[in-house]
Amino acid sequence: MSINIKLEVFEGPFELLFHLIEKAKVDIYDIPIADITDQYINYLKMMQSLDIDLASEFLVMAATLLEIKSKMLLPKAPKNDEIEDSDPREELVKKLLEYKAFKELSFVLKEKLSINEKALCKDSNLADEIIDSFTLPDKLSIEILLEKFQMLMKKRESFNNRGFGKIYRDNITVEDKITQILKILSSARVLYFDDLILDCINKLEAILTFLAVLELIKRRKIYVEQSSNFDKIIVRRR
Amino acid sequence: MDIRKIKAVIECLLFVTGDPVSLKELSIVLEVDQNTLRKIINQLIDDYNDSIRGIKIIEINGSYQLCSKPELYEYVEKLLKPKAKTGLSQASLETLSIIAYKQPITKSAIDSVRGVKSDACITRLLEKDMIKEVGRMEGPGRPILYGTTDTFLRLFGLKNISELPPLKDFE
Repeated sequence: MSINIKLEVFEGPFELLFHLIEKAKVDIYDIPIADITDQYINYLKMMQSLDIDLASEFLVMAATLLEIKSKMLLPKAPKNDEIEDSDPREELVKKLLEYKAFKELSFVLKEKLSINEKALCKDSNLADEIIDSFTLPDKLSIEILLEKFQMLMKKRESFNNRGFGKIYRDNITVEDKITQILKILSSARVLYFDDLILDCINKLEAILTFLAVLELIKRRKIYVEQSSNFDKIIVRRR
Repeated sequence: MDIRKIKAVIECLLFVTGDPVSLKELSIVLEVDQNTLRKIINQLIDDYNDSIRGIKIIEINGSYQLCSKPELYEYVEKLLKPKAKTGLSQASLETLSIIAYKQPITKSAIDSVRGVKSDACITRLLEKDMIKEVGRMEGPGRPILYGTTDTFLRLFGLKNISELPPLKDFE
């Protein structure tokens, strides 16, 4: 059976130390270090007996307290004008006070936050939209859209008409394609590159067609032209 | 341009951008010198505060931003029904106050003031855009230096970092 015990949670060793000092109602500038160290270590022991994992920072603080305690036990060095007799507690007190200041400040900030977070600002989506807005191409018309759509449908049709279940022997060569293209061009004045590609059965043939066109351009048998980006490529005989 | 038109333009620009707009940018757009413009904006701020309006202009680091009035938040809640807010923990607030006063500051310096590790708090504050990396300290390991953001100023209702309550009042 497990028992839930609500313990005061200490965020860190400073907080625990503060708690002990406040409970003992002693002056922070004159901490009875032996008492406080005992209480501190007892608290750690209790935590351990409750099987609570202790952060290493708590142990570091325990060591610091013990060090200060042992320093306080040492007899004071004979008065020496050059070395100032400093209180071993001084550094710890300084740190404690600094921590305390920030802790209190954090409450002030929390107050401010709770008011001002209720002042809502609009995000900058609208401004971004204006900055990123794009202008439509000049010549955009419904005809262009229609044409593009028809081209897509044609492409799809040829895709759907691929012969399934047949494997063609790769017996076409670039030279065959060249002959074929020249043959078409001997009767027709122009032809569209897209149509050449659409007629191809498979990828290999499409590649061969492309190579054939390049070869013919090199041999200066044909020339190709395209009026604008993504427009149809026209193949003409020289 | 008469003052009423200038005020209208400022209102329009702040509404459209949403983000803070600097006095300099406003002065360039409106072709009014910064000093005059600052006076006009202050008047506009007063206009908003005097009359019953739902929005106001806040100043952050020499920039201006339009935001709703916090005292009307309950109506926003009624309309939008926000989910339970995950605020900042006490530990995160402590970390934030240390960064605010001692910036630029390294993580280990924060840890040393708090006496505990602050990694989780710093990550949370970075996520919430309350703090940012402002550079690196020259020295072994070149540790990251942290500082507060404009979001921090806005959420805490500060025009700039010097408006923080003086640290010495708490020492």
